[in-house]
Amino acid sequence: MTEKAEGLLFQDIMLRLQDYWAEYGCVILQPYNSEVGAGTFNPATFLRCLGPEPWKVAYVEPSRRPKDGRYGENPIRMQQFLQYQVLLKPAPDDVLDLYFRSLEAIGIERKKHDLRLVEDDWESPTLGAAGLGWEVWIDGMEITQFTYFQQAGGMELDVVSAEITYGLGRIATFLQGVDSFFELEWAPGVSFGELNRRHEIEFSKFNFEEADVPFHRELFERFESEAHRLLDKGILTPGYDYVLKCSHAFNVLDARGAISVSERTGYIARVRKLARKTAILYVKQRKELGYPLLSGDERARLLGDGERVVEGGDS
Amino acid sequence: MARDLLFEIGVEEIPASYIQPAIDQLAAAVERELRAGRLGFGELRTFATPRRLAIIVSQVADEQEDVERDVVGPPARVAFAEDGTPTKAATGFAESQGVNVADLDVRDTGKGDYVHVHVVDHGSPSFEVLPELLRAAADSVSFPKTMRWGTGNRFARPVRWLVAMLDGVTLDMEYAGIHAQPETWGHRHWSPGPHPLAGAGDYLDVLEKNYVIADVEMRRSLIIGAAEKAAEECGGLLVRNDALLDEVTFLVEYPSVFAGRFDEGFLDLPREVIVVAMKSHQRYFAVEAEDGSLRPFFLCVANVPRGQLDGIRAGNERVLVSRLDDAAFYWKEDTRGSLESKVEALRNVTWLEGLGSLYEKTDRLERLARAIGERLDSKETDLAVRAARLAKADLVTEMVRDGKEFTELQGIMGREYALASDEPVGVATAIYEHYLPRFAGDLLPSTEAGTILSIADRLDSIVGCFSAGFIPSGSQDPYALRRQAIGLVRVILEGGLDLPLGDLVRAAEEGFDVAAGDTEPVCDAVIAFIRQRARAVFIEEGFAYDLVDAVLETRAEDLVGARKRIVALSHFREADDFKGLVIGSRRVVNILKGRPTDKVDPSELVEAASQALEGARARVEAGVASAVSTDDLNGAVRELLSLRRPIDDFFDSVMVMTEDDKLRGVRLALLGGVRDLFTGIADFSKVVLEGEQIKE
Repeated sequence: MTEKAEGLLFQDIMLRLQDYWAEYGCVILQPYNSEVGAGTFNPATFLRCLGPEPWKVAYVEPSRRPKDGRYGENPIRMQQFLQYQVLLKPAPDDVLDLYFRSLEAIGIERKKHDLRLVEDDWESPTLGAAGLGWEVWIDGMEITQFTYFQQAGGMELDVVSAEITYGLGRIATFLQGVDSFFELEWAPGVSFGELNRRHEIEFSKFNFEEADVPFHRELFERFESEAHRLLDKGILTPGYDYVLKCSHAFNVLDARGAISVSERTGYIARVRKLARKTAILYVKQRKELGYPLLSGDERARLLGDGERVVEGGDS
Repeated sequence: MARDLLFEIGVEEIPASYIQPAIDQLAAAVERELRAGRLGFGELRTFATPRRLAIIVSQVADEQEDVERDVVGPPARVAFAEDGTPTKAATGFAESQGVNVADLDVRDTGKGDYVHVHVVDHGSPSFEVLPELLRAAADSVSFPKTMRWGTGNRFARPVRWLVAMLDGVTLDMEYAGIHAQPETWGHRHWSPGPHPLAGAGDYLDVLEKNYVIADVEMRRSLIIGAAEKAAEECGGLLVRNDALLDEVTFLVEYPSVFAGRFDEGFLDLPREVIVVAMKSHQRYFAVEAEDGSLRPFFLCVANVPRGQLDGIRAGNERVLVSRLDDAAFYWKEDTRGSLESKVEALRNVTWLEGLGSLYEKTDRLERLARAIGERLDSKETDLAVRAARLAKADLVTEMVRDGKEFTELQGIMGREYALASDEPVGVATAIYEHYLPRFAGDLLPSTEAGTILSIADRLDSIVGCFSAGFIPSGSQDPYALRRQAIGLVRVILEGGLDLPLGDLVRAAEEGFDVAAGDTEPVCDAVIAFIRQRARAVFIEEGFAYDLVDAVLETRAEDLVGARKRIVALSHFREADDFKGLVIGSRRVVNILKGRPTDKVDPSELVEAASQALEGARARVEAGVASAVSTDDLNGAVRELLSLRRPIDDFFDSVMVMTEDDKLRGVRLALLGGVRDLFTGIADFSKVVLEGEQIKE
């Protein structure tokens, strides 16, 4: 195992990225405590990218994609994996350099590898979000998704954020020189496989074989109506929680093979409608709060002499 | 004096496919702007990498050319009082032209004496006008997709630096929120910069020293040369792929090529699977042996200087192996059962909203393939029907359904899985070929079974969509029906197939639930749609549109026959009698418009010219019939041309619309017979003669 000793432990990679981005000035947050398909769904990204306020954040996000489960047999595909998510708003001019320097911080020497930016435009139909950017390759392996957000919650974004999503598993296999996520050394003497393989097998069984279809269909319906009810009352965060639950119920049904091709579009449109409602509500709420993260001048300009604008209940 | 202009837009990595069109547009726009801006120049050269679009223009003039013009002002009697003193009209005019009253003179314009002035607009210095010209040129570049990044500008990716220099002097200009500086940037990781520039003269050298080959052709030839050499070192040959070469040329600034290896065991997978695993995602070239079989190597074009390749090779090998592992896994899963065993699962896959499942489509394809095969009297009918049964089954295999980049192998996987299931080779080939042609210029089916199934699949899609109201309009064609119709036309034409469209469409229509009253309208709409595509195919082939229209007007349903007639008409277009015949046929058609005709009784024709025309008609009718029966369309047209004189003579000496009802009827009947003769070949009245207005 001398090979492994050359690379960083899995937990070291996360720690060094935390340090690097904290040093840069990011708010370091914790993962969201509800199932999400990607770090983008975390309100620290999906909501904070909306509106005029600046925002810099970094966090690890355990992301769940039930359909990607492989019963712990595929070395790099699993139904739960770890992303390291950074959102910089507005996107600084040197954002790509910042990113590449972060790779140096985890021990990747830029001159020893073939690092490339390959076109990859991103779109999330459920979030009504889209952006342009790249996948970052290191020696032919995709390790990061880099996106300039153009749209979220169905709204054009006036302030463009840069989203950097590191695939921690892939980066770690690269650094530790192993072929499988399960062989990764997470902490001294404790492997990624020890921590996650059993979990992968069981969740694959659940997602593909055991998840009760009528029950999850009902969950989807109930979560959806609860989300609408809350959002209509202007109760943002609990409302968005139910949007996320709704989205996850859909993903489970999808993995279970319970969603026909023709139904799919309809389900996705329903979640997108909720995401849009959330986004509109958030934008309104931030304005009502007087854009606390904006500098005084900007706030005054946007709110008109600092006067707080409280709008009527239309939505 | 003249100076060399360097203009470089520095950008974050632009998508590879955008770059060549963008630099071409930029070059054309700069040239256009310089001409419009009256700035003389020498040569224009372009450079492009993922991170820059650059142009060097030699010998740009230091000043715009002067423009001289003569301007006529008010009448002299208004401009000057009788004593010759200028009035307000004169001073106003002088002012508007920027001259003194003393510069005005009076000229006789032919309509009287008018005030006149000769004005010289002196050109501005290039330094002053170039910024605006270059901005306009850059603004005119369009990309398939653009983005915003905070400056209020749009471009393919954020613009990060700008160079605009005339020899050693930097222009005072801004574009996309960036001010021009006399410095450029090198390779992102090896020598970022900024690097000072002396001007156009040292641009390429500075870049090359900093690991950027800015010249596109040089990069391309470096890549080919190195790839061929690397392939040779592995004891094989480079599998050329121009699209891939174009792509990698625009993915790197400083190419190095190296060979990597994979386990020979993977060579048991179908060749296309391996090639796609290498090409589609990883952008590797394949290596083959002299006998055309794949070798267990790949060629990667890296964006680094040589010398650091070992670690990079290992990483790339690992990535490819994991992709091939995926493919091998899918192959193993998919070949557990036969291809036939997957057909049932097509019940769960919707073909198109409202048009049932792929299983139902399969059923229809089997019936339609049989109908077409029998109509063509093909010995491969049974193979085609069997292939129809299996044609869509690969869509539910793991490889195609779930395999990310392998999804593009639909059809090819069908063929491979059919072979692995011991289906006859003819069936396997037809499964693959039923998707042909996939795009303009693609291969066509080579076997009869493949041809039959290709026609059946396209017909079923077009007729199905039309019956459900999914009809293409304007730029809206979500199911690519136009492409499918063009494919259908090409397959029928190339195969020389005697397949009347009406029969085909009605056969396809039986597979759908079309209300009784709608069958004819749907059928007519489909035929009109296919005819439009056929028209485009013929015109694309280089035939004159009016001849195409003339033929399609009477033979829309028989594409092969239509093509022969178009060829024959094109052959005779310049013949002596052609124009006369067109005019004659128009007279015939016009006079018959809306008038019923009977069959002519030759004995009732009284004038010599009438009798001569009827004689010619009868002779030509027999001649045309005999020529057509031996497929001699030139002969048939030649026969028709011989009608020119009798028709002319007839109109010269006979008054058709006489008061005598009976005589008129007989004459009209005669002309009706003549018209029917033309109709067998083309509607000559649609032909546009030289000098006539084109009416589309």
